[in-house]
Amino acid sequence: MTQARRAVTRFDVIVVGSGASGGWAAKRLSEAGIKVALLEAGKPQKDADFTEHVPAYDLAYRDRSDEWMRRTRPRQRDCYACREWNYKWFVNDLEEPYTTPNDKPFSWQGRTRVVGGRTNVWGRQSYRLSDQDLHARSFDGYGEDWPLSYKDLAPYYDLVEEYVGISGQVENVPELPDGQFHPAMPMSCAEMQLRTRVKSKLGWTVTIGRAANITRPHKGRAPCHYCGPCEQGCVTHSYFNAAFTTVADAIKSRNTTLITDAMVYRVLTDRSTHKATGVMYIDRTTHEVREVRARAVLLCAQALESARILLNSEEGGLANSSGVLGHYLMDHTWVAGGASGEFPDAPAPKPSLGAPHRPNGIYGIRMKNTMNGPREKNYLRGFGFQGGGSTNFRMNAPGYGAAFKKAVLDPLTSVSLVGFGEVLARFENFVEIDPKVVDKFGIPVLRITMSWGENEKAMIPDMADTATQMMEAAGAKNIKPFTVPDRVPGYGIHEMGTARMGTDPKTSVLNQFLQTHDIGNLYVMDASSFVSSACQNPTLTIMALAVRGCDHLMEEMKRGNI
Amino acid sequence: MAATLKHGKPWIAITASEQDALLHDASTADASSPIRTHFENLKEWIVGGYYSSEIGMRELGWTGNVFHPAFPGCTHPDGHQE
Repeated sequence: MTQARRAVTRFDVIVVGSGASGGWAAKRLSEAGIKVALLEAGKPQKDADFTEHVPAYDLAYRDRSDEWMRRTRPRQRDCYACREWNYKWFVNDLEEPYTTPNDKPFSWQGRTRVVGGRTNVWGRQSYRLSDQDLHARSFDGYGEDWPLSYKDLAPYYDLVEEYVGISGQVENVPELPDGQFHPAMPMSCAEMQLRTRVKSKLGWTVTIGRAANITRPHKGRAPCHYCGPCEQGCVTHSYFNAAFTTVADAIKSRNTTLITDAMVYRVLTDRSTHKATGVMYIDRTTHEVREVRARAVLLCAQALESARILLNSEEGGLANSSGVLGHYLMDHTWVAGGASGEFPDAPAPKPSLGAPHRPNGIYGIRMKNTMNGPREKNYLRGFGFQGGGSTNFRMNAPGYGAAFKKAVLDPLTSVSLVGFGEVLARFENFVEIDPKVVDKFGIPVLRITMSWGENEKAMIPDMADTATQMMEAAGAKNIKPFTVPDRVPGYGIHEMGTARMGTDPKTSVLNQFLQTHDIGNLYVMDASSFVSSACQNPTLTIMALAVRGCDHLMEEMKRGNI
Repeated sequence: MAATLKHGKPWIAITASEQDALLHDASTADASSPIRTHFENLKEWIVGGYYSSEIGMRELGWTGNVFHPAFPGCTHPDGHQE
């Protein structure tokens, strides 16, 4: 890597990454009058780049291009959201690799290189954590508690939800605090049947997914028009994508300078003052090395990329006096266990490509090891179910010819429940810099070491048993339980914990405001901070924590500490 | 190939009912047999190609309209009760 220094520009705050956390940081700070440099590794994103209304027959390979996409994106293609319509938003895995031990594969997916980051293609499921999640150690003795409580986060959940727009239904279940919801998307009859009977027979709650898809006009954005494939973009801005919400607001404030194609690889520090002074980045188009300086640096690059930047910034890792930087990596066990069942008697409209498509599923709220419920003997923590009912064409009908074409149109109504399980934070799941491998830009890459522990392995079979129990209660036919005990970590695409928060600087990287213990003007605002994974999707909590961290940063700036 | 082996003629030269009989045999052969595996692979590509073409998508209800005012939910008040 060349070290030629040129074009030094100065700002108040540098935000690295323009996704869920970086977008919010840029908006929150620049709307308060702070000059922000927003550095994004990828390309600008415009409405014209969105392809959700393009039919398959207008594509070069008609959505039959799996093998071809895998030539450049073998890992990214493991995720359903990387499709012929949008694969160019994802990193070329060959140009920007990572490594793993041979016996511990990790699938690092959802690595986007566009403004808005992963919020372009995310699943939009938005759930609050509860005090049981934040204080899980106090409940069962494992790991650490988060250094904050639900009452600290609640006002920020409110603030974020009010802006993002989340459709959902109030349920009054303590394991999943309610929020400020747009009108819920409706359930199908099969889903209603499951919800009603599971509630009456088992006492558990199946609710409509809480999704960052708006269902009424909201801040200049149109409600969802049910076309279906949100991961290909949205010209009506009906789902939450940082590119056309937080980042757009930040730019509108005239206080944010968006710098795209900026691969940040190092945080610069002044050894005498122990402060961060800026960052170095490589321009992806020209490969030039550039430097930006500021009073504070916020890493919002995603949990693995932010850890990579800190580990590449200094021998042994910057802000790593604790030695835990890169450790306690978590994901969720995704679709590792569950069940499906058929509901042939539930009324359902005939399937049609011309019908409205609900971009959201159902959610089975955590029912195991709850505060007032029984404790499982074999494992700690719990899981939630995602899935949903659908009435589909029978594309897998047997036979051929006219009989097959007729069978395709014969609808099949089924519901699936797939578990998303909590993964315990363990020191031995970690990332480090691979000393032998660099990416296309010469930046040393990560070596990721992660595997499931005994707790995850014990939980997975119970996902299948519990889903089966729910299907039986609902009166489903042809119930098919499944487990995937060897599901490769990473498939949850919920990387968390690589720079965890804590009250003790000896065992954590960040304080409760996402500020590094070691360097006062350096913050890490993505899911790196998570102390435990809970079983809920992390993005809503990432955003709430980021805004809270920005408010702390502004107080510190006012006090003259930064 | 199967046509040549059984009838000594290529596929296009045999009768429709002979073709149908061969397809029937292939589609019902043992799931792990080479002929069945070949049949399922070929069928997957033909089905996928057909239903991602405009005529195939229209057969499945595609109209080109992608703006829907609402998603129709269950109209039974408590879902479908027995």
